[in-house]
Amino acid sequence: MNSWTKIPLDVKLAMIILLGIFILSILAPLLAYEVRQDSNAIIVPLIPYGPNTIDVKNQNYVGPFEYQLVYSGYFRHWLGTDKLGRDIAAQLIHGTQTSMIIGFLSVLLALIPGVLIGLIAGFKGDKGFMFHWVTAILTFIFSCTFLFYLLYLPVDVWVHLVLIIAYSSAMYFIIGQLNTYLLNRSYVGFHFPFDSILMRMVELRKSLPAMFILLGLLTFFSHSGIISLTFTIALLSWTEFARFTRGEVINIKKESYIISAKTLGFSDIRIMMRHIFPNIIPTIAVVTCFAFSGAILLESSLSFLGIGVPIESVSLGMILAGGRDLQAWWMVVFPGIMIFIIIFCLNHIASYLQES
Amino acid sequence: MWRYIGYRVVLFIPTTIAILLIAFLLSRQTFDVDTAESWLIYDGIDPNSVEGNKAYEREYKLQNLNLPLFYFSIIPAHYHPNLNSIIDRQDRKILSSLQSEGYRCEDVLTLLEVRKNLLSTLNYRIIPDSILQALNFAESIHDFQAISSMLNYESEQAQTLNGKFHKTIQKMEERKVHFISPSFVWHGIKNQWHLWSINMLNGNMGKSIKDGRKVSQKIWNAMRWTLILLGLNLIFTLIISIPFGIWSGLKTGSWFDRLTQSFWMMLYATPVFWLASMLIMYFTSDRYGTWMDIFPVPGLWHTEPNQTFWSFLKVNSHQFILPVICLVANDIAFLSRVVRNNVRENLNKRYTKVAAAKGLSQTLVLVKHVIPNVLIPLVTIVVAAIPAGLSGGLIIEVLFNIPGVGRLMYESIQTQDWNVVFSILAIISLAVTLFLLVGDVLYAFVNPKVSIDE
Repeated sequence: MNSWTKIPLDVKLAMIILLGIFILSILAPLLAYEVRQDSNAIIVPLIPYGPNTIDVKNQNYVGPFEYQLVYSGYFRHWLGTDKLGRDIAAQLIHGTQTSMIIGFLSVLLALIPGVLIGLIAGFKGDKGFMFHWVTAILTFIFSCTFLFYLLYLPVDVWVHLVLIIAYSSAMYFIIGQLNTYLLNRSYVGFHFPFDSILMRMVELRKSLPAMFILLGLLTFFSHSGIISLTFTIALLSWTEFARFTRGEVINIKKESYIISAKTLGFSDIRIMMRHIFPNIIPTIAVVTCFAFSGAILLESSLSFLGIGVPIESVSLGMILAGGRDLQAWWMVVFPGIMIFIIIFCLNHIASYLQES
Repeated sequence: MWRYIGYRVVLFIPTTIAILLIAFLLSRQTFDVDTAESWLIYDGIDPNSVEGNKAYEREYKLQNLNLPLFYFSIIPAHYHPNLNSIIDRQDRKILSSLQSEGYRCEDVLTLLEVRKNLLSTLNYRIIPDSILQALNFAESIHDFQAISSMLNYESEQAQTLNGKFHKTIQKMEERKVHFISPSFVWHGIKNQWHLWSINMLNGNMGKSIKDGRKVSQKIWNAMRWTLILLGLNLIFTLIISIPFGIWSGLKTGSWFDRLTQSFWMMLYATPVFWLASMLIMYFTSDRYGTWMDIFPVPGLWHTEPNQTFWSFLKVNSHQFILPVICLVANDIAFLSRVVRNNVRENLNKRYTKVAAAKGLSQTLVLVKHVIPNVLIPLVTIVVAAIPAGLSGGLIIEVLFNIPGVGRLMYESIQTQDWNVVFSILAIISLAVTLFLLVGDVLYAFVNPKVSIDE
């Protein structure tokens, strides 16, 4: 990684702009909230309107340059209003916050399992997990019974969680010990093709058109919300993390320091975490940037179609959709520029990281 | 090469099953709305009337809803092996809730029968109307117990009738299961998943609830538009990005290279729907100046009576200009970058230098040696761009009112036309995987070096 001074100016600029948008979205509730026109408050926000504040005097699409019925210049709608008289600037700031939350959470949700699975698949390959046939059958039977009781025992969700964790750790130790014992006695076993299974899943994901799958998956949830949208986007993007991590791990595995670490007898987990993981961070950073911009693009496309986020919350795509029919240009241009800037900066940083 | 092709073809089978399974599972869980019931409403029959009950039964069996979901099921031993086979909605609800509380399914079935008999013999002369209503809508075991004890205070006839009812409830309580044990039930091939997937592969997808037309017909009609849009998109993307990519690759680092690459990157970062909205807003009307009214108003299709599809397309071809511009703008960046990098790589290779040393002119080296080597790998890349193209196409179809698959999917979700939604989901995914398979096989023919390990 280069130090700050070595980064070219355009990438620096992109980073600063992105940081600014981050801060803007974090401070959204402080920058734009409703202030009554007769209030004597000393601390006033940048924009004296909330995202859902309805200005009755300026309804029906009042543009930024048109005559506005406002108390003073401070209360002017700098980016115009929508049909109900809501301020576009306030909506823009809060919509950016929604986009950022969805982008951030979905990337986080996709990154953790994706990188873990990619690491294991890349390091262990197809021949990393060997099962004695006895343990394989035992595992299958135990898992089936466990799943059965998990489904049919009428207990709480938290009990389920505790049960899952307890059962899987117990399984890991007991079956693992039994497996090594049996394999040491006789070499009658088979390999669990972890890598091949992952690659089939990656291939399946790559061959599916995202928008269609997303629309299909969203019907799974009874009502649309930020959480369901985040989950579905994460479900679609974890394979990218797994794929790139796996590829990078396979490259690094051939390096001599990994081989010497193996010769020294370090455990697999130690090699993966201490020696491989720090070296794949740049790759993960690139994928993260692309996944972030992809998630924001998907979110805004869906809310533009009126499917993604619920109608109460504000989203960049929703503002855009509102202005399209009646040709209120300020409702199309400004949110679009915001999405464009976020995605362009992320892509720019990602391609710089990719090259360096 | 043949081994590679065989490997790809064999792998297509599990992919198909996975896609169908996803679509099937999604289609089954969406129906908290009873599909059989919504079909009755579509036909104009009241599902609560006597006639409606018969029609419901017919519709229920017609849609195979009475069959089990999968080849087998692992359920508690006291459960009913196939809950779906109980056609009466009320009975199904009572059975599923009571057996999950631990009552044996045989006992619950007897209870349901006794309840049915009670309902037919009891009338308002024997007991008050309120108890009859309560019996009609009772669902939990507490409801039944309360009704039974209430009947004991009514007329003698009611008390005698209550005897069996009371005994059944008591027996149920006695035989209640306290420890759940699993049991394996084999259903055979007569199950919903088997029939659904076979029907799907045969193109027999049922009817649309919106207009009663065949789903396969609807999808095929829409698919033509999507394919045309996709084809135009790919063709124009190739026409634009290949020359630009080659020129940039030849002059890497020049002002032309930097300018075009950054311009494509900017187009790439522009969301499709924003670009489309802007173009529609500014360039389809004279609102912002007369000279800006360049493109036709989107969605203004010219229709004449007795038009065939192709003549319709011919008359309305100008409607495709803006959609194709929007789609192409997004795809150029990726493809031109690939071409540029490939050209740069190939220029440094030995065979190019040998060709130049042999005395070939630069154009000949380019045309004869470099360009074929650059264009051949494009086969896979172009095919791999199809899913993304379809995704972008969905938004474009909705925005520009093109009656393609994406628009059909969008509208069907809005009107809860689930038959259409999940058929499209399965069909479009299968079609894309098939395309990718064909692309891979073609590539194997063009470049026999590929192996399974890649």
